[in-house]
Amino acid sequence: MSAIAETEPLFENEQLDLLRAALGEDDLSAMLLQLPQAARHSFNAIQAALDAGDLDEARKAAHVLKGFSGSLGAARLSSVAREIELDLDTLASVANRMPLLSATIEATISDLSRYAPVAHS
Amino acid sequence: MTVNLARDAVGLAVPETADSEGIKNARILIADDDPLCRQLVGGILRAQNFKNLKFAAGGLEAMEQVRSFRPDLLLLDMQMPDMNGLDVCKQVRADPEFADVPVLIQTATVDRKKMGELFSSGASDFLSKPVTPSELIARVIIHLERWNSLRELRDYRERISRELEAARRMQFELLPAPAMLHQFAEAVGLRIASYDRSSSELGGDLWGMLPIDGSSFGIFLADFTGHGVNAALNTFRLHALIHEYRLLHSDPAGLLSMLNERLVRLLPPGQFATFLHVVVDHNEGTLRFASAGAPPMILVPGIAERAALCDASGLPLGIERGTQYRLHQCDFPPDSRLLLFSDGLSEFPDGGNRIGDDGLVKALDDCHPGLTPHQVLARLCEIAGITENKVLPDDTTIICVDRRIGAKAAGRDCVFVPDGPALSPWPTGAV
Repeated sequence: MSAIAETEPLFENEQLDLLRAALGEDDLSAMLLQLPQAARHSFNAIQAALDAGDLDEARKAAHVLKGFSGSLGAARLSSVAREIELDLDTLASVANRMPLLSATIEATISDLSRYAPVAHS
Repeated sequence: MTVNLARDAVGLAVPETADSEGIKNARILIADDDPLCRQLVGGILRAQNFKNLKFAAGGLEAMEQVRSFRPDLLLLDMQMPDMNGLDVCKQVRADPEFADVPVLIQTATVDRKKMGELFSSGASDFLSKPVTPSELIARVIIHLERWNSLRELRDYRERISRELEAARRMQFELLPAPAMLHQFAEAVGLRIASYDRSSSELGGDLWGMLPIDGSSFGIFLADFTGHGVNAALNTFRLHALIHEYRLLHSDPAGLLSMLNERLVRLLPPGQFATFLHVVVDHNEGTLRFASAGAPPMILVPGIAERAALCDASGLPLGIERGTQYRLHQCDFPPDSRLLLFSDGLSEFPDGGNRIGDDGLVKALDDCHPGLTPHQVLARLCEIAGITENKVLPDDTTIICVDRRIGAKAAGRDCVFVPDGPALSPWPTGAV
C-alpha cells in the first residue's frame, strides 16, 4: 500500500481543472468543502461494517468513497478506497488498511486548503 | 435540432445558441446513491444551463421518478444498493413510452463482459467514473439531440397521419352516401352495391352517381395515375369539374370531351385519368356510355344470359387536347346485371396471377343468378384474391348494379349468406 501513497498525488490537477471549467471556482470550492465530512462518513461506515464482520458492506462503503473522491480529484484517497473495494478479500486485510485510509483522509483534507481556501475551517 | 458547440481550453462542449433551448429544457433524471456524486453531476449540468433536473437516491426511487417526472434522459449509477442501474434500465425499457428514451449508465468498469451486459440491458451509452465533465456534457447533448430528432420525426409522422386521415374522410365524403344509393335504387327498381378501397391512406379512384331526370341517372368511375396525395388531389379537382358541367351529365361523350379539355390544362405531364361514364335509362332499359381508357364494364343482360365486355375505347383524360369520345349504347333489360370496376380489381395482384377482364367475365357467369349485388362483389373479391387484410397494390373500386329485385333469392349452392359481413372498410351499402 505504501506504493500508492508514494506514487499517487493527493489531488489530480487535471481533474480539478476540468471541474473548475465546468462548475466555476465557487461551485467547485463548495463541492470540495463537502469532501471531509463525506470521507469521514465513509470511513466510519467501513469501520462499522468491519466491526459487524460484514465484508460486503465494507466494500460497498469503499465503493462510494472511491466514486466521489475520484470524481472530486482526490486521486490517492480514491486509490486506497478502490483497493479496499476490489483487491482485499478478508476482513483482516481491510482492517489492516484502515490506518492508511485514515491517514490518507486526513492528508487529503489538509491538502484541500490549496483548492478550497476555507477547507480547514 | 443542432446545438452549436464551443470548445474551451479543457475541451468542454458548451451549448451556446438559442437553438439549444429544447435541449436545455429537457427533463433529466440523475440516480445515484451517493449524494456527493448526484450533486456533482447536477452541478455540472446546471452550469451548462440544463434547468430541469430531478434526483433519485436509488433504483426504486428512480422508477418512481420515471413515472412522475417522465424524463427525457436518465443518468443511472451502475451500482445502487436497492436496485442497480441495469435493472432500472430494463424496467424502463419495458415501458413502451420509454422504449427510446436515452439511458446513460455511469460505471467505473472497463470489463468487456459487464459492458456487454450494460448494452444488452438497453442502455443507450455509458459514462465513465470518476465523472469527467466534458464526457458527461458531450454524451448528454448528443443523446438529447438524437432523442429530440426522434421525437420531432414522430410528431411529424403523427401530424401527417392526422392530416391524411382528415383528407381521407373528405375524400370519402365525395363518394355516394348509402342513403343516396338507397334512394336511387328504390325509386327505379334497381339494386346497387359498391366496394372501394385505396392502396394507401388516399386514393386516386373516384366514382359517383349523377341524378339526371325521372327516368335516368349517370354513374361515373375515374382512376387517376398513381396513388397517394397527388392522385387524391386530382380526384377533388375532377369531382368539382364534373359538378360544374351538370348539363352534360346526360351526354357521356360530351362530358368526357369537356373534362378532357379542362384536365389537359390542369394536370402536370405524366398525370391522367381513365374515366367511364354510363347513363342508365331505367325507363327505356338502355345504357349510354363513353370511355376514356377505362376498363370495360361487363354486362349480363338477363338471368340466363352470358356476361360480355362492353368495349369502348378512348384516350384517358388529360393527355391530348381536342380528343373526341364516342358514344356507345346497349340494352339494359330487366334481370340485367352490370359491373363497373377500376383496374385495381382486374390487375390484382400486382405482377401475379391476375384475374383479368376475361376472368371477371367468367366469374360473373359463374355467379348464381340470385346473388345480390353485394354478394356478387364479395364473390368477385374472393375469386380475385382480395381480402380485407391484404394490401392492395392499386386503388380498387367495383360497382355492381342489377335489375333483379324480383329475382329468386340465392339457392343452397350459394357460398354467401344474405346480409353477410361488410365487404369494405367503407361499404357504401347493398340495396
